[in-house]
Amino acid sequence: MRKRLLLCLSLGALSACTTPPDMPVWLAPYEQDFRADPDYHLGRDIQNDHWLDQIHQNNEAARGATIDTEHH
Amino acid sequence: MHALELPENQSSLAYHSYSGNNTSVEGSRLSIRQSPDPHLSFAADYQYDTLYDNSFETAASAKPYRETQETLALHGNYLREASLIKVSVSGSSKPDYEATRLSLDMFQEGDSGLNTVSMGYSRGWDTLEPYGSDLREDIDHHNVRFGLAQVLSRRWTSQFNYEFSSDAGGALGNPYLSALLNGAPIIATYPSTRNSHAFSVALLQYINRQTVATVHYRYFMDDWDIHAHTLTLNYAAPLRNPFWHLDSHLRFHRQDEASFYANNATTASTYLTHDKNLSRFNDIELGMNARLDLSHWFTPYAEKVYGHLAYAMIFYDFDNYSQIGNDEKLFSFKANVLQCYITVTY
Repeated sequence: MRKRLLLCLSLGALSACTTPPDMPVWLAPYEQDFRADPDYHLGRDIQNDHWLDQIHQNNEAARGATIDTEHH
Repeated sequence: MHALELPENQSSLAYHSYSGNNTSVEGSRLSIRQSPDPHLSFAADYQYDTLYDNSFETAASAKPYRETQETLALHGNYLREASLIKVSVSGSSKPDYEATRLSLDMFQEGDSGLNTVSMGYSRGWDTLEPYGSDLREDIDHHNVRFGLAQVLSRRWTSQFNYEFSSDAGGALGNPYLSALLNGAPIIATYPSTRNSHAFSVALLQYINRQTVATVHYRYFMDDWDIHAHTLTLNYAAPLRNPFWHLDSHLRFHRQDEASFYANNATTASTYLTHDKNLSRFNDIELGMNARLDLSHWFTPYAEKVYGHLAYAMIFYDFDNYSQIGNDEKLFSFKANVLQCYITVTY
């Protein structure tokens, strides 16, 4: 009984490890259509952000770790 | 489906302005992005600004009322399957200040594009030659950054960023400002190094097509003892007229003063300044960006054409800064930020 349990656990762990990398765990490919929406990005318009970022850098002491709107 | 994509073939032309505290900036910016190949993309940005400074702080200095500044940036992107490499070089020139930056960023997506890891490094070389002085100072910048963007569900996406910056040189502060010692102006002095850390987290909720809500928080700290919190709330949605889209945001910023900042020091110290940007203050920003879809007028010459009008108000309230000669009243001012631009995607 103990051997069978160990075998089941081992097979379960192995199957988890061998899940094809192109298979998202919690989001099916057909559910990703929203990402094609041009307004789907973290942050606002890049052109608008560029000028506002310059204002913030000139008037405040903090800098860096701004949101990346171009690549996500 | 890959999250990483090359920038679209797009050009934009912008007019922008800023006014506040008797200082104003007006300028324009031209951006061109072009992909000659499915794996390659190049971009160029050129910005020309005219700065008018009539502020109280620099009135006694040799700084002129009017200056011009030019900035040119070139970018190259290389995309190969799930990896993207971006190289940027930029140069900025003002009569008293020249800056050069070189950046390398790498992005790697995993889990079918549901997460993206990024890392980057920038190196900067600046030269300062203040007006009315024979002084010439070099400033070095190093910058390292890491990021993780993760799709949490169909409607939620998150992003984490960390950035370390290190500056070294003889002029890390504004050379035209003074410090106050027992009510008398003296030359401001700054440490010759500055190291800072910034952490940020962002959450995006995709509510509907073209309707997105974002919250972004950043914590900043440096070895000048400045700690800052910045929170930005953003909501973008189409209007009833399908050609209009409105993007609005509310931003809060709160920071502590640098260890060597004093509104009016009573004892002399190695470093001392009366720079309001290094004082303790908060600012609130309210902004909107209206976008008008003009694509139907330009078919078939362009894929998408958008006209934008953006405006933001920023209210600055200082806790321990007052203008020289007006010690009783804490300083505050309002700034107006305007942008008008057109983007063409082809």
